[in-house]
Amino acid sequence: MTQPALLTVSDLRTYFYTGAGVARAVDGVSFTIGTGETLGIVGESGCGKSVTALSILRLVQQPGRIEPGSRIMFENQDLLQLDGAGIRRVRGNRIAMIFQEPMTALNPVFTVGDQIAEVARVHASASRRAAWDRAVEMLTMVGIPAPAERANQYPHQLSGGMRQRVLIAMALIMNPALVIADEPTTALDVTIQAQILELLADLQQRLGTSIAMITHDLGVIAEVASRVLVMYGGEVVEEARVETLFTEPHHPYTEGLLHAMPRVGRRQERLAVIPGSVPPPTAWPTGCRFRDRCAYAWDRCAREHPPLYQIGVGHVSRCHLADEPERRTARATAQVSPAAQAAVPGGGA
Amino acid sequence: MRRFLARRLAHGAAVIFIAASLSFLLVHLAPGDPFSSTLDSAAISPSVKAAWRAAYGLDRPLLEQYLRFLGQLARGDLGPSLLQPGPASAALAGAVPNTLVLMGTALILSFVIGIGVGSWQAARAGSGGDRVAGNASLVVASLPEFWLGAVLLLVFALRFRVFPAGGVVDLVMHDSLSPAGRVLDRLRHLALPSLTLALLGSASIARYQRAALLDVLPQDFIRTARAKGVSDRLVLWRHALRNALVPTIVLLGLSLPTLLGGAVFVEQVFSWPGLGRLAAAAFHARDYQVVIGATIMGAVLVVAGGILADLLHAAVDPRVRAQ
Amino acid sequence: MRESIGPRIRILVACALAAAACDRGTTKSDDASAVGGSIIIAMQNEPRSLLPPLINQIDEKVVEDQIFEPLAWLGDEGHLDRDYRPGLADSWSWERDSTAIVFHLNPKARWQDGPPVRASDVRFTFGLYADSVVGFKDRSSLARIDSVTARDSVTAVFWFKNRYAEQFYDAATRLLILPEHLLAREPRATMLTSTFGRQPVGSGRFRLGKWTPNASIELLADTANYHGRPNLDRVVFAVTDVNSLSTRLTTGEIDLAEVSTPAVFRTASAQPDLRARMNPAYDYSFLLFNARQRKQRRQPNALFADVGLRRAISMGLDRGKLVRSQFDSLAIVSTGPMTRAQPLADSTIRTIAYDSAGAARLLDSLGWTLPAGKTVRERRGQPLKFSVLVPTVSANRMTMIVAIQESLRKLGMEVVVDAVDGNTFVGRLGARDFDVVFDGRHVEPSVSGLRAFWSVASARDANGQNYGNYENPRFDAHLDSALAARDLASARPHATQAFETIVADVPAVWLYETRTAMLMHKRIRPVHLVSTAWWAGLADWSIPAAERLPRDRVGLRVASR
Repeated sequence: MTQPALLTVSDLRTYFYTGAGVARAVDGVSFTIGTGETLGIVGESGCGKSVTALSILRLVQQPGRIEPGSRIMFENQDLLQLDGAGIRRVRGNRIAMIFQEPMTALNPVFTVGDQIAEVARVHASASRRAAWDRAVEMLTMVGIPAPAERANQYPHQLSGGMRQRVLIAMALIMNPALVIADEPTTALDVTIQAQILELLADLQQRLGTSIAMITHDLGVIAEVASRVLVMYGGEVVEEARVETLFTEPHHPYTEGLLHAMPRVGRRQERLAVIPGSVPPPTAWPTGCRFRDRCAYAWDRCAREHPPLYQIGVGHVSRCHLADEPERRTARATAQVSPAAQAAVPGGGA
Repeated sequence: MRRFLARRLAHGAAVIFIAASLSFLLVHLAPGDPFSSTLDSAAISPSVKAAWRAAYGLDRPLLEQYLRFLGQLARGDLGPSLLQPGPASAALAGAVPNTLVLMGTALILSFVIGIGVGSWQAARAGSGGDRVAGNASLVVASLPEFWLGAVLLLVFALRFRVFPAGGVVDLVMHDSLSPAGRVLDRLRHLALPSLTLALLGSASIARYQRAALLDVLPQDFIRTARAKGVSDRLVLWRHALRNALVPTIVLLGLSLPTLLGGAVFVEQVFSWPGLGRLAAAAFHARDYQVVIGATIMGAVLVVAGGILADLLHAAVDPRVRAQ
Repeated sequence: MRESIGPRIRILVACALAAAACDRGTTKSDDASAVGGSIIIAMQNEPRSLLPPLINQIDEKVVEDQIFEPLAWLGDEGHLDRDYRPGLADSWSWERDSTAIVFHLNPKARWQDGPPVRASDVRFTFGLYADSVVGFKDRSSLARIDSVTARDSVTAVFWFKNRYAEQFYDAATRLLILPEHLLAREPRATMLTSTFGRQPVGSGRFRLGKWTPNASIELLADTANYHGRPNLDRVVFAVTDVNSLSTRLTTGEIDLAEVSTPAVFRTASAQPDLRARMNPAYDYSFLLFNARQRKQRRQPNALFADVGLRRAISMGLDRGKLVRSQFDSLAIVSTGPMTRAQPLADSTIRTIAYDSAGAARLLDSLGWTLPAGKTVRERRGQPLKFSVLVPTVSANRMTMIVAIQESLRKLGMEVVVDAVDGNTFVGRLGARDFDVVFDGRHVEPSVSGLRAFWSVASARDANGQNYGNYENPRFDAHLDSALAARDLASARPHATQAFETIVADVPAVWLYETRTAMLMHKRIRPVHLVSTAWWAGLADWSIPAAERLPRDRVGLRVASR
C-alpha cells in the first residue's frame, strides 16, 4: 500500500428494488485503488463485481439505487454527491470504462472514429477536426493498422479484437486517472486476449493510469493485477496481494476459484468446479453467504455473519476459519462435508 | 447499390403496369360509362350515347381498347379525358403537385411530431406523461380523417380564424400579393389539411418510435455512451434515436399508401384540388382515362415510397448500406 | 347533393327587377363608386364544360348565364307569355299568322373576342342545340321549331310548325347564343370535350378569367361589353365540399352559397355577416309505382296495378311529419307531379291525407290481412313485401326511405331497400326494372315537361321517361289542352283537371318539394333577385365603397397569369 489512494470506496451498497424483492447486489463493499495500481476484482457472475464497477460511475439503471451511506471518494470528491453535470465531467474523462461486449458496446450506426472522437468533443470541447485527429492517434496507439481508414469504418466492419481496441482507445483518449475494465477480454479468443492484456499493461505503464480489472478469470488477474479483491454475494470476501492470493488463499471460495482455474502446462481431465451456484441476491443466506457451497461450513457459519478477518499485511478474509483455523485441517481428513453434498442438488443454475 | 436500385425500379415498373391494367379493367367493368354517369342522362337517347361512344372508341371490343391504351401508355400518353377538354395527363398535371405538396408536408410533419412525441415518451417510459401521450395517440390514430379534419376546421378556421378553411390559395387576393405574401398565403392554406393528415400518421409513428427506442435504450452501446460522459439528452437524441429510426424509417415508405388514402378524404374536407378529389370525381363520372391516370400516379407514389424507404434505411443504417 | 333527378336545367323564371337594370339607363351609371368588388360563390359540382347545350346541372347554368346571353330574358314575374326583357335581341315582332317570330339583334353586340354577333350565329346556335348528337337534354322542347333563318346580319327569324302558348319562351330563352366562328368546325359528337367548353367566349357581361380545375372558376368583368361593364370586377366560383360549406361561409371565405342541408342552413343563417333568403322549390321527389311487371310492359304488376294498394300506402305515410323532421324548412310536402313555384301548379288539389287506421282497413278490404302471430300481411299466402330502388348518391332519399320503411312496417308491409349507385340507378330506371322507385324530378316553370314523364306515348316508348308506365288518356287530353292554350289564364283550368286526374290515380306517393336557401354576405347589394334565377342580375350587383373588404379592392389588375 505504498501509493496514495486514488479511489476509496466505502460501504458501497447498491440495491435493486424489483418485484421479487430487494436485490442487494452490492452490499457493503469497501476498497481502495492506488495511483498507477492495477486492482483485480474477481468473482463468479452474479457476485456483484459488475454492479460495483457501474456504481462507481453511477451508471446503475432503474430500478437499481445506490443506498445512502455509501461513499466513493475520488480525487477529493464524493462521486455520489456530484450533480448530473459533475458526474458527467468524471465519466470518460477522469474515470473511463471498458466494457466486456465489444460486439454490442459500440453504436452500430456511427463510425468508430466518431465514437472515439465524441469523448474528446464532450470533455475537451475539441473541434470536430481536432477530435477526429485525436481519435486516429488513439487508434494508432492501440495498435490498429491503417487507423485513418479504420476510423471511417463502422463497428460491423471490424473484427472483435479490433473493436475491443477501439473501446480501449475510447477509454484512454482523455488520459483518465482510472480505467475500469469490465471483463475486457472475455469475448475474445485466447491469442487476442493476450494481445489486449499486453496492450493494457503497456498503456498503463506509459500513461500511469490506475486500472480496476474486473474478471471471473484468475488467469487474467495473475497476468495484470498487483492486488486482488475477491467478491461473493455482494461482498468482498478476500483481499490480498496477487502473489499472496495465489500461494496462500484463505477464503474457501478463493480456494475453489483457484481449483477451477485451468493452468498452462498442467493437464487436467476436467476442471474442478465449485459445487452449487451463487444464491439469488434477493435472498442471501444468513450468516456466511458462501456456507451452502462451502466444504468447511459448520454451525457458526449459519449463525454468524463473518467479518473481514485480518490474515496478514494487506490480506483480509471474510471466513470464520481465521478464527478457528483447526477446522481446515479437520476437514482435510474428513473428506466430504455433508453440507456440501446437500448443496449440490439444490443449487443448480 | 446501383444494381439494387435498378432491380427496385424494374420491380416498380411492373407494379405500375399491373396497377394500370387492373384499373383499366375495373373501370371498364364498373357499371355505366362516361355518358351514363349522371342521373340526368336518361334524357339523352341511347342512339346519341351510342354515337358518342363510337366517337371516343368506346364501342370497340375491350381487348382492342386495352391494346390501344397500352400503345398510348407506351408513348407516355394517357389519351384524352372523356369529360373535360384536353388530355387526361393535363388534368392530372394540375392535381398531382397539390397532392404532393400536401402529402410531402404531412409526411415530414408526421415524422417530426411522431418521432418527437415517441422519443419524449420513451425517455420517460411509464410516467404519467407517457401514459397520457400514449392514450392520446391511440385515440388520434383511431379517428377517421374527415372527423379530425372537421374538428381542426371548427377550431382553427371557425373558432379562432387562424387558418383558412379550404383551397390552396386565396382565390382573389393571391395573385395581387408580393412573392413573400404568396408563399405565406400558400402555407396558411396548407396548414390545416397537412396537419390533419400529419396528426393521423404521427400517432402511429409515435407509438412505433416509442417502442423502437425502448428496444434500443437498454442496449450496451447506450451504456457506453453514458460512460463516456455524454449527456442524457444527447444519449437519447443522438445515440438511441439514430438506431431507433431504422425501423421507423421503414414505416415511412409503408405509410405512403395510407397517407394517399387519407389525402382523398382530407382533400374533400378542405376543398383541396388534388389527386384524391380528382380521382373521386373522375370515378364518379367514369372518366376512364383520368381514373386510370390517377391510379397510375397512386402506384407511382407507393413504389416511390418503397424505394425512398430503402434509400433512407441505407442512409441511417450503415449495415444495410454495405449490402 | 342537390335533390333532383331528371332534367336539371333550371330555366330562368324571371329577371324581375332585372328589367330595370338591363335597361341601359341604370347600368351605365356614372357612379364610379358602384364599380368594383370581388365575390366568391360556392359551387358544389364543378362543370365538366361550359358549353351551354351540354348543360348538366344548375352550377353550370349560373356560370354560363354570365358569359352567354339568350335572345331575351324572362320577366320578373315568370310569365311565360309576356313581360320578356331584351337580351341579345333588343326587339322582336310576330309574323301575322303567329308561326314565326322575328328577333332584331342589338347592332352593337359583339363577341368577347371581337367580332360582331350576327343573325347567322343564332341560326348556327339553333342547329347545334337541335342536333341530336350534341346531346341537349331538352331538345324535345325545340321540336316544334321548324327552322331559324337569318333575314339579314342582325335579324333572325324563328319558324314554327304550329302555334302554341310557349312559342316565345322556347325560342327566346332556351338557347344561349353561341359564336359560329369558334364552333363551326368542332365535331358534334365530341362537343363534350371541345376546347371551347373550357375556354368559352360569349357576348355576356362577364368573361372567363381563370379556370383552375377542381378548385375555382373566375369570371372577370368584360369591360368592353356593349351593355356596359358590370359593377363587380370579379365573380369567383369556388368548388366547395358540402361539409366545409358552413365553415367557409362563416369565415367569409365564401360570400354566397345555395344551401340545401338543414344543418348548414341553421349554422350559416345564424351568422351576423350573412343574410338568408329562401328560394322557391323546383324539385320534387316521390315513390313511383311500376304499373307493369319489371321489364315486362305487357303484364300488369302483381301488386301495384291495384290502385287500392297504392292508395293504402299513400294513406299510411305521414308525409308532413316525415318532411318536417328531415328537412326542417328546406322542404314542403309535395302535392303532385309539380312544385308550387310553377305558375300552373294548383296547391288546392285534394290530396290523400294521412290515415293509418283507414289504410289498415283498406288493406283488410283488399284481402291483405294480418295472419295471427305474423307481422307481415298476406293475401292467398303471398306476403305483402316489395323492394324500393333508391340511389345511394341521394343522401335525402337514403335517409327518408328508412323512415318510410318503418312506417310501412307498422302497417304490416315489408319494404326492402334496394340501394344502388347512380349509374345502376339510371340503368334500372330506364329499363323499368323495379317495383317501386324513390325518384325525383327537376321542373321548369313550364309544365310542358309533364308530357315526357307521364303521357301514354312516353309509357309506350321503350326509350320514354314514363318509367312507372302510368297511362291515362284523360290526363293526356287535359294536359294537351293546357299546353295548347294561348295564355296562362285559359290554361289553368285544364292544368288543374290534369293534376286532379293524375293525383287521383296515385301512380306515386308525392313526398316532398325541396327548396334551397341562399346565404349571402351582407356587404353585397344584390338586385333582381328573382325567384329561381337569383344570378340573373349578377352583373348589376354592387358593393358599397364603405363596406368593401380587401378582396373587393384588388381591382381588375390581372396578375401573373
